[in-house]
Amino acid sequence: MKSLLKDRTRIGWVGVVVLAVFFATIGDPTYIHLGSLVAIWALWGSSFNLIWGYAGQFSLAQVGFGAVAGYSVAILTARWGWSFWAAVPLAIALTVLFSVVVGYFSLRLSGFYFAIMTLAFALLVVRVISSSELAGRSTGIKSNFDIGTISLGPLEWNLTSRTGGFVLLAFVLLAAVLAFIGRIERSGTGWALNGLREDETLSRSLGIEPLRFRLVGFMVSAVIAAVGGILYATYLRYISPGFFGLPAVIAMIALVVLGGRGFRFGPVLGAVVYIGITQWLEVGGEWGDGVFGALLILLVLFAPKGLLGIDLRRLRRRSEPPPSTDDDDPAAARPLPSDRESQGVRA
Amino acid sequence: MTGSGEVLLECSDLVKRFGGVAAVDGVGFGLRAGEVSALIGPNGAGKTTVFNLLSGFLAVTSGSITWQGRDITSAKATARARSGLVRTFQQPRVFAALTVRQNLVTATHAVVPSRVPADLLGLPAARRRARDRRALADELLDRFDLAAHAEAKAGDLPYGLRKRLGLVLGVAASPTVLLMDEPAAGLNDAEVELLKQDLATIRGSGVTICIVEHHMGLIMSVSDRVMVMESGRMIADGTPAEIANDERVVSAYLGQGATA
Repeated sequence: MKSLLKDRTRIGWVGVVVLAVFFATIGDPTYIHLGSLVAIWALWGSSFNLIWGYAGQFSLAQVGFGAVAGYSVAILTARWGWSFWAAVPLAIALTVLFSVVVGYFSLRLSGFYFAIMTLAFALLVVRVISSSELAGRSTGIKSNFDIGTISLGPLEWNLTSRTGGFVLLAFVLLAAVLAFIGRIERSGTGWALNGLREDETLSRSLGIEPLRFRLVGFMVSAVIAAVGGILYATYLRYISPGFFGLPAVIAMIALVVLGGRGFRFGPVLGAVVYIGITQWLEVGGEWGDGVFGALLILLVLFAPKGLLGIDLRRLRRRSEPPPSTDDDDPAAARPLPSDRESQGVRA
Repeated sequence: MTGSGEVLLECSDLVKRFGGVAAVDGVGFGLRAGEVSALIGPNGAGKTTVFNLLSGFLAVTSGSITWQGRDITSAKATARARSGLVRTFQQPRVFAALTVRQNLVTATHAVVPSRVPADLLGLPAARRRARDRRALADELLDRFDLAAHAEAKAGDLPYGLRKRLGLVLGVAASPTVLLMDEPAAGLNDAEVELLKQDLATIRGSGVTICIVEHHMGLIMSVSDRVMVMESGRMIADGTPAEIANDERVVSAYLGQGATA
């Protein structure tokens, strides 16, 4: 079990490096386009995976965080003449601040209400942007960021959008985010988030503060979404409210479900499949999203844990009868003394 | 009163109303260090409600709770747990998708608290705490004979083991006082024997225990003191022998034909 997980991590890293090298060196504009989109969507997916897969909070605000960050950079550079590298930290700080406000109001709500509240925030952001003169209303802003080049001795790293160098930058940021999520996974904060996802009452009885840890998870996921949003605006050299609407929210959920919720490399695989089907193969032409949707439905039916959640060993053992385990509902299998007082408490 | 240690946890005039119904109606008692006490009574007597009030999962309507000399009547459940006042649940609560070992690592939160900035920055202190957590989890796996199941998913365990893990999770939080809500509910005879051993182990490590339970055999063999509730009130408090011979108790509780 342990070695299998280790292998999975190793395979994940190899996959990311292979993708980065492939897309960054091939030089063909089409592949540069595909590679950029894969990295950006994997980042957005990772943001949602952290807050939903690890922390169990179905937050639909992630795309909104991306919009806040992307627009902050666009306004600071295109409107107010800031340099790109000065605008980025401020944009991320603003996004985190925004996430604290959203989190403070929404993280007390449970399940469905939390999802609706965060979706409302995301759509509010788009609404405000599309009616703001400063943000270019529905037309958007040209965001021809001058990121420039980084020189490492004789090596020059050209970061300009639509070059191999930019694709490499996007994958380096993705790798940094994945490494960071791995660190959280192994930390006490990660265990606290896992515990809260599994059973909030039990977590509280063990001293784990729900709001505190969920707010931390929310802020970190907002930073990741911000990086994705800024990269998106940088890549397209253009930012408009259309990128951050409901379709983006749905695509983000879909690719995390597809890759495997709670698997660190799930969003990467999800992004590859999503971009592969809708952008590269152009399966179904205009109906690419429909094909992707159909694939997703099949997956949810046959492999509800996503692609990385498919247990290959179990598939191989399929002919054998499944190991007998206790019934899911212990009360049904073994009579418990019914205690009306405790039921009353929980009702 | 059999306990001779200092009073760790004390409640007085506890009242909890749900709508017009008083589930707990003026209950007061103290738990002394080192003592094993039981809180018994017929269904609906208010026992679990008392535990919910003591552990902070329900707010009192009136009354007060003092914990190691401090008034904690309005303290949060999480703060009470971190200060060593820990409770377990009647239904086997575990982190179902995590392995047994991961469950224990998660449950050490109260002992090895997470410092978020250090965790996010990956400071050496965070790595040291991760090691401490693993060491604590390993020690508990050994102490409670769970090593064989360490890598099993908690949700896949049979009922008795899940129940046992739920108990060990409470121990992992390093309690000073452990409130156990029906630890024997649904267990077979062999599992109840194992539970008796576990209780002895837990008591041996200096933990003060209070048990809500229906299993009279278990209560009579492990308790120093038995408190009896009926209809939200305390009707008796004494040694197991005293309680077994108390007429009011016999008519209110044991008399109902319930020795199970």
